[in-house]
Amino acid sequence: MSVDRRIWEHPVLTWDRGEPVKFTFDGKGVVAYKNETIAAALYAAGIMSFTQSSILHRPRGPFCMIGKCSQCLMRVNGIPHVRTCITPVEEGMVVETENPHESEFPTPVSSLEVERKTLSYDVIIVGAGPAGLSAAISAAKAGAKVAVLDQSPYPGGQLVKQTHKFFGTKESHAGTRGVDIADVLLSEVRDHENVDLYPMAQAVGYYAPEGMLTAVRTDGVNRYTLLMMKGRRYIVATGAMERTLAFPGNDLPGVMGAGAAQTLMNVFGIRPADEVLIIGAGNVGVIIAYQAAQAGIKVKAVIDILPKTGAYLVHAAKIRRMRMPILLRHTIKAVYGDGKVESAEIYEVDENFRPVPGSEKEIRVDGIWLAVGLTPSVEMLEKFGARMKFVPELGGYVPYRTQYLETSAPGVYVAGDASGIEEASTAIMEGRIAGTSAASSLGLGGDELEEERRQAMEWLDLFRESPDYKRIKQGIQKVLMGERV
Amino acid sequence: MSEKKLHPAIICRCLDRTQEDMIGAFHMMIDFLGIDGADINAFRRFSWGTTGFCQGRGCLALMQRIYVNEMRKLDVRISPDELKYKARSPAQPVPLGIFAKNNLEEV
Repeated sequence: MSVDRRIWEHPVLTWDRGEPVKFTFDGKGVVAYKNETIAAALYAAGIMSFTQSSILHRPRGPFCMIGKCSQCLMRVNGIPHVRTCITPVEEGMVVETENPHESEFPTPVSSLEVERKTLSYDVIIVGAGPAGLSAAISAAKAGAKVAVLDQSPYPGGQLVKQTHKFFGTKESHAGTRGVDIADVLLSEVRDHENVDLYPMAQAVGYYAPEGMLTAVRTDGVNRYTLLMMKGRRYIVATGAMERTLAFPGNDLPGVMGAGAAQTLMNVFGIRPADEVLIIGAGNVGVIIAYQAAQAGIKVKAVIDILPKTGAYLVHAAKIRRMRMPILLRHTIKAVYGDGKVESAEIYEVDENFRPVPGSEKEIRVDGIWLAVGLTPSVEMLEKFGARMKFVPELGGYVPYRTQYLETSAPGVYVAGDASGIEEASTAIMEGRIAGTSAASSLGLGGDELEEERRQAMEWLDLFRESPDYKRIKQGIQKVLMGERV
Repeated sequence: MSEKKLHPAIICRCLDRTQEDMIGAFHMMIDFLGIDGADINAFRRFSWGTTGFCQGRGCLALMQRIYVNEMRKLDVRISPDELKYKARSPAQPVPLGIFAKNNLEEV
């Protein structure tokens, strides 16, 4: 093991990596730590190319690190197409790259052990991020029997990688780091005996005739539980997916979503690259630039096509003070490299976003991080039959909803980024509104529940008064339905 | 920089579709179905976009842009509002064996 990209010294963070474990990757031994996922452990060992693409034979590496893209799929213990970014390492695991050009019909080396469970709940929540966990707490307080499904082994959603302190007020955990908010929410969820948390459970579909949500939980090597769940109410809090841009070389290993880099750095303590170019100087872009510097990564430039950064002043000022170059009115032309990112070419644009001739610059980097916005993950809402609308202000297709966040599918609620891209603090409040509304529609809870919902709605209204929120507010107006009778 | 290899711009990573592939598929769709039959779901079928493992999580936004832009070149104004699409189960890549019965007697 010559390469170790793990961060052993960091100004703010420490990691509980757990005991060392050994597994094999394409026949070679890899030493990892128990609390790492396969993809994280491979990245730490300097492996960037995870798969070969099916037609063009191009090497690919993970893009999202949260189980949404498909670039980390490998064969694990003979099971093909396993999402390695959300599968924890285990002693003795056999991990292989899938080469679709050489492979024969996939034959698992051992058979599947499948347990089937039929379960009933008052409220079933998909997604254990800030919105899902908050919804669970609110519904559980009212006495509802609640299930929370999450595909990741680590509940908390994207809070777990937020190492900066949040804005807002006391109610929204202002001044606390995101990762600590996740701990607070999780411990509160665990305090309620009427909440069942299902980590590593992927919701795969909803079948309207049977009124059944199906989810597949991974229990270990080749062991699965098929969960067939009937809920009286459903809350979809599936979050969002990072966007990509179309430029030559946009699929080279080393090009990844900013959130993916954040997961590697902050959750697993692994340096995704040594020198990076960050595309997008909004909040995500500048926050990650700062965190990259903390992790000892050189940020060559943060570029944005707009003439002005969209980031909050505090965050932008932090990286200005560190003399990181922020190049506005710049965009990416192409990424070059043999099998992985080696350099990037950027250019300047004029006020009509046309290239300024002769402004091309080449930057040597081994990582390109895209912070160019998010798209709500709404597949499950579509399966529930919720009516959708494309709202650019909210990031893409989002469901119509009442002020209580019920969608056009009766009994199906939405909360968090899946309802439109906002922030973790608004997701927490939306979770409370959806959770209390779902419970109260079942006749549970009393005045206290009403009061909690009223407060959350008041908080959201106040928060969205901020001028930064004008656009988002306009977007919400487009999909707001009158209350169902 | 001219000696450097210019890579393709990939729109759909799962099924390896480049920007050129997508535009080619768009025109093939127009040839076969005409403008009236060329809705976003037809574009998905012709281009394979959104039908891979990620189920469109990675490519849908880029595909919409191509679809709207190419339609505009044909003087058809599409508001993305109207783009309808369907999600299919299973929404995540899981082994098919999980849903299978062990033998015929169980069916």
